[in-house]
Amino acid sequence: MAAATNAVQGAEAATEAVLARLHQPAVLRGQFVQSRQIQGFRRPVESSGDFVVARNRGLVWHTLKPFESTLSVNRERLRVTNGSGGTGTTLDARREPMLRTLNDILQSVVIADVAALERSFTLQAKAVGAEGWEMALQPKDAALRARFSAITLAGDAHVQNVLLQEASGDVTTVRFLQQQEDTQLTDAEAGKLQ
Amino acid sequence: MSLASHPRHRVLALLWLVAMAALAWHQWQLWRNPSFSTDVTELLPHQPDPQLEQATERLVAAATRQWVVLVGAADWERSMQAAAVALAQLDPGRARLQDAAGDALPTGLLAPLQRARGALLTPQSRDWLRTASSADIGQRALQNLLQPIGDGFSSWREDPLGLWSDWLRERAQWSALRPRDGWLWIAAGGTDWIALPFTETDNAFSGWSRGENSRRLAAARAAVAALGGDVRVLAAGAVLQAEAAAQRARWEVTVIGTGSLLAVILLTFLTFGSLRPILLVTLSLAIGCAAALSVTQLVFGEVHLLTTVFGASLVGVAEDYGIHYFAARQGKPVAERWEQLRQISPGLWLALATSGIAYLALGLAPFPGIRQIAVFSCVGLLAAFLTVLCWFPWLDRKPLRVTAFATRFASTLDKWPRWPRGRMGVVLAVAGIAVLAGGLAQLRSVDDVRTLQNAPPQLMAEQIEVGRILGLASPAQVYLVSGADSDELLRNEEALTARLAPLATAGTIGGYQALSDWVPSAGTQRANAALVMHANREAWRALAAATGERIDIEASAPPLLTTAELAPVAQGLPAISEWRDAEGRHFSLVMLQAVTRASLPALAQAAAQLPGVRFIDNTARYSQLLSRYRVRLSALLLVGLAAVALVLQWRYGRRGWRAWLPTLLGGLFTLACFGWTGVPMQLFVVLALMLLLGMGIDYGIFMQEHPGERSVWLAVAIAGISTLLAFGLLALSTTPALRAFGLAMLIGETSIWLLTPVFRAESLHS
Repeated sequence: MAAATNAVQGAEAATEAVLARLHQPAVLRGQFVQSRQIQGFRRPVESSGDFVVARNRGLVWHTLKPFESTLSVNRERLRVTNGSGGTGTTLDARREPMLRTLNDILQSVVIADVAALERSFTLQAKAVGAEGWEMALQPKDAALRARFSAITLAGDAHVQNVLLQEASGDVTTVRFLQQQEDTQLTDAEAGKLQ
Repeated sequence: MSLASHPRHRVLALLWLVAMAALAWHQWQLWRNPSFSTDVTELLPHQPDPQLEQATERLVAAATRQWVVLVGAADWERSMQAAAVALAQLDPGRARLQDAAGDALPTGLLAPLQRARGALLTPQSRDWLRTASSADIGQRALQNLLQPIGDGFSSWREDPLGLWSDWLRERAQWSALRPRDGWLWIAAGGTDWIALPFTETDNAFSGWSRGENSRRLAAARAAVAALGGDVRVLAAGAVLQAEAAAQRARWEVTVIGTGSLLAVILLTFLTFGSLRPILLVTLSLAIGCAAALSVTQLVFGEVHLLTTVFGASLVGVAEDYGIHYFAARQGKPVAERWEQLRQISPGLWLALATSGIAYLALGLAPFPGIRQIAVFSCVGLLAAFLTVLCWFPWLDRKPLRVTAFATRFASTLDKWPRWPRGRMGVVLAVAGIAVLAGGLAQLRSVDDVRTLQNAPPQLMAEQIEVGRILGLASPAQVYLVSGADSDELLRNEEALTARLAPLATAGTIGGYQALSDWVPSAGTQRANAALVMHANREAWRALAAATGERIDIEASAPPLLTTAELAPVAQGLPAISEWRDAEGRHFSLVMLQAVTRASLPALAQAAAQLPGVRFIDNTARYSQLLSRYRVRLSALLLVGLAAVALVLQWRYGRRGWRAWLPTLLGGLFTLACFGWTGVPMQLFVVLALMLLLGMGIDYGIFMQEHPGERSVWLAVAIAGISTLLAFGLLALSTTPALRAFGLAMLIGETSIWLLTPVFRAESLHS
């Protein structure tokens, strides 16, 4: 009993320590390099591009290589458009409420929004070195476990690496570069999150 | 002395005693396990249409076993807290709660579908694949590859375009509920609702007459309210409505029955000033009601609640015979009572016969609900009458004095106005005709099956709100689709849904649910599979070109999905089940969501010229039924009126009109009142007119049998007042049809009662 209480307190203390190291800007921009190992593929699928995330507003995931494609998510929808700007597919959270949870997770992972992530995952955090940290996320309910087996984040002032393990066996690793903090979105960015 | 001198009476009394012993035994059986029907549709005529009946049965069977409670707050945490509190009251053992965990699709449904997934496409996917170029397909497939996460339903290799997840998402729309933190959740209008769907076990209705579920629901509402805040609880389900209807009916039976009984007791006491008439009249009423209930149960198998509410007003009618007996007896020597009974019995028999004619005319229509009421009333009157005839002289052996009240009351007849002769009479007649014609001209009619329902408005409102929030398909409007075999059935459905899809897109309807959405016809499955195989090859080719990655899957069509594979899980889900009739023809229902009155013409049009597709609008069907019977019974009413006129002519000759005219005028006056006040005419008003014909004529008969006889007037007056009270109380009923019936009886009885002495003959006494 006492040990369990200590463990909980210890976990909370560790999370606090990670939070202390993590910056929490309103808007974060940067670049990403993504590698997806898909079941049955010999080599991972590599892609890269830039992104912008606005806390509680959404994420724009702008892939440039191997070809241009934009994924934008907010609480109400998920939209994928191709390079020429024509609308590809849109999923509406009113029709598919699970989408809200998924969209929340996508944007929370990019900025390690602990408060948001704790709604869906059990967190295990630990400080690493002088400035770094690591965080392991386990989905709480069955519906999420059907999508993710585990998510691991690592970083310092910002998230640097993400490891997404899907229940299907597909594994995505993302590396973030050149993050820059800001207080608000540009008009163009805000337009993409409308 | 009197015992020995009337052997025939003795035999009758003993025979009636035997009959009463049998009645008592049957009543004891009946009340040990009381069961009453509440289904309004059981009152309506059966249609010679077995297809329609099977379809209706399936809809009803699915609806009756399920009920749902919604608990909602603006804040999800509060919703969960309140739902837990409510569930603890509703179903602490979670024996009835449907499984809330896991997928939105029914458990067990996924496996057969998954095997056939290469042949399942949404209409949108199908349209896109038909026109998409190789480049389009390749780009969409590669785009899917670049997303940070997959769609969660299948791997890219097997489904590079995410067609299976699109199809599953579309199917999941059949329920708006989604699992969240172990609850079934739906957000609507800023409220996070939690749905608690309950399925009753096989003996679902065993507890409803005791109000089991309503009690649990009330406890849950109270417990949630105790939490404070803005938490709302909504409930919907046929079981709850049945319970509420039963509760109300029980209350109404009590009020109407007790009220009429008290009135009879009071009037009897005032008139006869003795306990004996009260006890004996009450005995005749008790026997009348019990016999009516027993015989109705024996004839129809189950007594409908509406019949019992209606039957409670019988108390006010069946007391007539006893009162006539005592009115004739009053102030006469005890030994003359047999003679008195002999004197009044022709009039009583005739009165019973005219009532009988009226009820028989009602029973001519093949309308189960009305037949039940007719049988109930006929038997009740007959039993009360026979009790008077067989038992009263035996049980009533002491003198009965004339009370001051009776004298005073009886003397009112002398002062009662008559229809004036000469010019005054003509003026009055013209004025009267003007009033009647003016009212009749404004009379309109409404034939709505909902007037037979008596569920509380709050529960009805909640039912509608729950239906709206959950997007439930309505059982009121459905398509019945058929085919010689499963595949023809599915093809016929597909022809229909092709027409419904644009209506759903345009928002004319909320959506539709069809078996063929889950199991497409073989032809559609083959066409889908061809499209999917082609698209997958294109996607793999694009992948190879972009990344050099090769996918070696042998593209082949999946095994054909059949309705039989879905059958085990489709039970109780009328939208995805299939059945066969005796000739082996296959049937299914296509259900509709969010149907509005405005969408009905388009929905009827959608079925036009499609083989094996019928649009069934139950609301309209029932209304047409009620309308048809209103017209038919109105015609019967005229026939009855003529028949009664002939009987009166036969007995009274040229004086016959004096008994007949007050009833005709009373009936017309009732309709005129409805016209002037804007109360619509409906089937149950015709029923009231029919009964008025039976009872109103009685007053005329009694007045004709014994012209100027004060004791007869006394009996007519007392009987009239208690009848008025009984039907006046029926006007308090929450069932609109019964209320209209009570109102018609109230106005009609009063006017006939007031008019009958106006047309009395000049008596010898005056």
